[in-house]
Amino acid sequence: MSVRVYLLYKGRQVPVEVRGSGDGYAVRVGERELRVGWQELSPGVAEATVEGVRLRFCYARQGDALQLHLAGRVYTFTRTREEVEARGARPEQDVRAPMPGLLTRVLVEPGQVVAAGQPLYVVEAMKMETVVRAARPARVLRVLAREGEQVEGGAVVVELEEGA
Amino acid sequence: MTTAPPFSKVLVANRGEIAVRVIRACRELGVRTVAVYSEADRHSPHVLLADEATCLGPAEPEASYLNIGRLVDAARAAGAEAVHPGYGFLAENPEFARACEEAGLVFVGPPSHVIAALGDKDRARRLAERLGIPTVPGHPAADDDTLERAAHALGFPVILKAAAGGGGRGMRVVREPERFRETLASARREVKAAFGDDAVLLEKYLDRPRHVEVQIVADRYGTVVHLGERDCSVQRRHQKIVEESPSPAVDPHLRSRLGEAALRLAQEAGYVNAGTVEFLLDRDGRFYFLEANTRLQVEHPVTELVTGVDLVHLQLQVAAGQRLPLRQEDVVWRGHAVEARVYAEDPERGFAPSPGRILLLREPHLPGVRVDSGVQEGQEVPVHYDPILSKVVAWAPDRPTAVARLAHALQEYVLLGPRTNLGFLLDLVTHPAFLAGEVSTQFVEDQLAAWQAPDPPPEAVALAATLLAQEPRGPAPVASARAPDPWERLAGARLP
Repeated sequence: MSVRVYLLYKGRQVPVEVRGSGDGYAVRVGERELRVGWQELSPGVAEATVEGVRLRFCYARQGDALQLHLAGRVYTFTRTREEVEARGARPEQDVRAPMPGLLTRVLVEPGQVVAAGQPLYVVEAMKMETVVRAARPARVLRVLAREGEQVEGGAVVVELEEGA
Repeated sequence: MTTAPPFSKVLVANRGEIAVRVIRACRELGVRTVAVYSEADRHSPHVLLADEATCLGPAEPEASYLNIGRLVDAARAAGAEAVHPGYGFLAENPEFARACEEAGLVFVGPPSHVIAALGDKDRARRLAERLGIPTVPGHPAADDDTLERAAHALGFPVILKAAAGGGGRGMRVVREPERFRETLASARREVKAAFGDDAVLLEKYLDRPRHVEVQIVADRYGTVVHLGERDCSVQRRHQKIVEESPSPAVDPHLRSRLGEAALRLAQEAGYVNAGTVEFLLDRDGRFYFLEANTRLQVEHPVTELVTGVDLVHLQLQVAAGQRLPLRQEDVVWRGHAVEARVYAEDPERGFAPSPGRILLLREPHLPGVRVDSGVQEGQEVPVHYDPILSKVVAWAPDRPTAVARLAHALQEYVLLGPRTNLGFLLDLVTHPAFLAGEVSTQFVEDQLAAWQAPDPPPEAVALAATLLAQEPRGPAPVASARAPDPWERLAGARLP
């Protein structure tokens, strides 16, 4: 088997080629090819050999998202089904909720011009208020949630149009 | 030593790791326990650990852990003699203490009038001034206009604080005068949500002080002892995250002066039970009274590890009217202890809370390491409460060894599902400035503000790719083909 896997790590795409199966893989990461084998000891706990080095890792998978604990660090990867266009050409045009929580205050209205650093809305979760601010000067296009509503982490609450 | 249990039954009016801690202490003393929980906490470990458990109501704190009527009813219905409030929620609420007193329940803490006197930061501060203990210049709680004028008079930066309650709630540093109003409004809302009262006071913000606090414990007969200091300078969002005892900045002479100031304040206030007197320590070794916390602190384990005293045992014993079993000269400090608080939060996104289901949990087991945990695998970390998951506390004969033990424990700690601050804590406790003991309350902002987790090494990427190359599968564990399953052979057999 040979599979090309597109991994997303912190929004960056890492193409990886995986060949083999069972307890022996050849994995190409960038310019390097690594020989990888692992065996699950109990659900989520596994022992691996990478390039002859033995290591213990833990993981949890939810659909296409994976958290991997290795040597005291947790890395979160997502598998995307196809190659994603390099981002950066289009500026971030919306301001997403940093966490799930209660939208306690919306401080802007559609049409309003906001300065960099101006507070847009306030989310409360776990008894803590987080003020979400505009990163750059912009005009508010739409406000997509109401005060008192529960919002999901990553939900678009305010849509901004830059260069206004 | 066998003594009669201080109470027959205690209701623990809290959740998470502190509820677990108190329930265990009760069990050690032969006291039966009643846990309380909200609908969001049905599967929290403290519920199963207690002898009995009562559901308080919906997840919202106001309807459950902050609901005085429900808690008092639950205690009476269960036949509890006493109520332990833990920390946070109603622990420093004089009305809760009074409601317990009026219902004939022993409140494990100071009498309600002492909580009211010391919990009101303006009053506590005036008490300190009267005793000649230095305080930070500031202005008592007032309306917006008065506070704004006072801020200009003191000079920026200033710090806003909740007049009632602690834990860093509502605490805001204002550096620019034009941000004052907006910041004050936000502080008032947060304080109101946490304590039901939006009174906010103002203080001059000192440049890079240390936060040093003294643990005291008093019985009803006028005996008060101090158990030395804790250094809690390492904070994020004005909330302590790493604490240690002794403080690297406190020598025996300063320790006795701090201890003496704390004892005088406690005696003057008529203090009973465990409490903490907090100070800011400037770079020249001058200290200023900050506030008194009339409850058990999150960071109490570091004091327990260096003194060998169990603070929850003492709390229960003095609450039952027993005499303190130790005098000041009996308190001896041994070695060094350091604690790190593990939170469900994302340090790369401003420490935003990260609730969710715990998919995998492996707590560290190392010599000299204690883990006070309030969560278990499979449990949902609710969105409604403080995101603390557990505390990892390391003891060793000296500071470098204790810190190294803590680092190893953090490295071994596996918690998947919610994002946690474990990686951040690991980098913090191995930071050269922390290793040198040179920190201030600004340490995180000065040194770790732009903290990012290191990028994954190639082996992590390779392992992730092989795992994600496979199609997602159900939760059923894969049976190993090698060894016969011993449970298989038991099928049909009757277990004794």
